[in-house]
Amino acid sequence: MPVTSPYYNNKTNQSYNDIELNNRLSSDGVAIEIGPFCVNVSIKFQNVRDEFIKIYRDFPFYADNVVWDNYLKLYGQNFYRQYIKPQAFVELGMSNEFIPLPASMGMVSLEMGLNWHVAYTCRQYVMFHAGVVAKDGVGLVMPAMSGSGKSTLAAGLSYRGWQLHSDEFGLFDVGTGELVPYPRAVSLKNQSIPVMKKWVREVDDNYMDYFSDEYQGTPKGTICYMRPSADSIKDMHKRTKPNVVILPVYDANAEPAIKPISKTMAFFRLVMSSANYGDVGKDAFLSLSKIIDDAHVCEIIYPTLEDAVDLVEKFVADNVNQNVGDE
Amino acid sequence: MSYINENNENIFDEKAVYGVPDAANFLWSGWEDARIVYDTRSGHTQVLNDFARELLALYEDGPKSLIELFDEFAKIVETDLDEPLKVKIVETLNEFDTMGLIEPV
Repeated sequence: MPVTSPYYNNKTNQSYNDIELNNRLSSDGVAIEIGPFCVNVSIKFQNVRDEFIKIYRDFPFYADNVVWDNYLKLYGQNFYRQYIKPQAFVELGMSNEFIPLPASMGMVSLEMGLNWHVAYTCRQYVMFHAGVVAKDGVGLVMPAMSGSGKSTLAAGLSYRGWQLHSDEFGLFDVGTGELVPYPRAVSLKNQSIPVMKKWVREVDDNYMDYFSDEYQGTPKGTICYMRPSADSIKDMHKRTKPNVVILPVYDANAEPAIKPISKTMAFFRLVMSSANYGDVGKDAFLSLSKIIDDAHVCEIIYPTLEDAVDLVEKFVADNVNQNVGDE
Repeated sequence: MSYINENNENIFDEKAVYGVPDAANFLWSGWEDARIVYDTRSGHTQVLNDFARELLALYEDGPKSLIELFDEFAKIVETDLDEPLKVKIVETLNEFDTMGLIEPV
C-alpha cells in the first residue's frame, strides 16, 4: 500500500524500480518525501546512488510538479573532482559552503546535508535533538546528548514494534500538540553498529540489506546508516501526542535501572536538546511546558540495548498503557 | 546601607527602588519542585525555587525599595528577618537583576 501523503494527496507517488531511480538520481534528481519534508535529490556518484537507493528505496518518490522544501545536489565540482580524485560536494538550496568529503564517503555528505536542511530551516516545528518513537498511542521522547545511545535505542525499539519518528530530530507541531515523524536513515556510530546488526538479524536473516557500508575515519568515528523499519516508513504521517519523556544514560558497567527525575529536570533537558527553542520563542516554551505537564518522566540507566528496551517497555506498561485507551 | 559581596562590590543599595519591567512579559509554568519563568522580551528561561518565586511576586505587585521588600517579606514569613536571611534575599535580588527580571525604577 503506498504511503498516503497529506501534502501530495492529489499526486501519485511513483513506484520506481532501482534502475529508474538510479537514472533519475543521476540526472535532474527525484523528489523524496520524508515525513513532512520533500527534497529533490540528485547524485552524480554511482557508489552514493547505490547506497541511497538501498536505504531509501521504500520511501515515496515523486516525478514532477511537487513543491520541494529544498533540493540537495551531490556532485564533483569539476572533471578532476568528479573522476580523477573524486570529492562529493554538497549543494543545498540555501547553502553550498560545505567542506567536501571523498566521494567514497559521499553518503555521509548527503546525510549531513539533509541534517543541515532540517536543523537550519525548520521553524514550523519545535525540534529536539532526541530519539522519538511511538506505539499504541504512546509518544516517547528521549532527549540526550551524542554518545548517550539514543539513536541505538530508538532504532532498537523500532525493530521491536515501535514506530520510528526519528533517531535524531524529534519534531513537535505547536499547533496540534503532536509529534511529527521524520524517519530518516538511522545514523549508527562505532560500537552501536554491530549491536544493531545483531538486533536486526534476530528479526530478518537478510539483515545486511538494512545497512549501508561502514564509513571509517569521520569526526564521529565509524558511521553506518540503517534503513528505518518498513512500518515506520509506511506510517510516516501518523502522528502521536507525546506522553512519555525518558532520559537514556548508557553505562556499560551499570545495573539496569529506572530512576525518578523531577519534571523540572525533564523540562530543561528538552529545552537544552531543542535546536530552535530560541527561534520559535514563547510557543516553544508553552509547548515544552505542555509536553512535560502531560508526560510521565524518568531516567533509565542501561548497559545493553536489550536492557534499555526492557526498561522502556516496563516504564510505559507501569505508567501509561492503562491510561491511553481512556483518552 | 549597602550589601557587599565577596569581591567587595556593592551589589544592592538599600534605598534603591526596583520593579519588574513589565510582568505581562512573563510566562509561567512549573511543577512540584520549582517554578519556570519565560521572559518574552529576552527569550530567556529561568528556574526559580519557592523562595525566589515569592520574592519576585512581591515585585510583581509593584516597585519597592529593599527596606519595603524586607518588611513585606517579614509579614509573609511572620518573623523578623535575621541578617543571614537578608543577605540571601539580596543575593537573590542580585540574581534577578542579572537575569533582567527586575530593574531600577
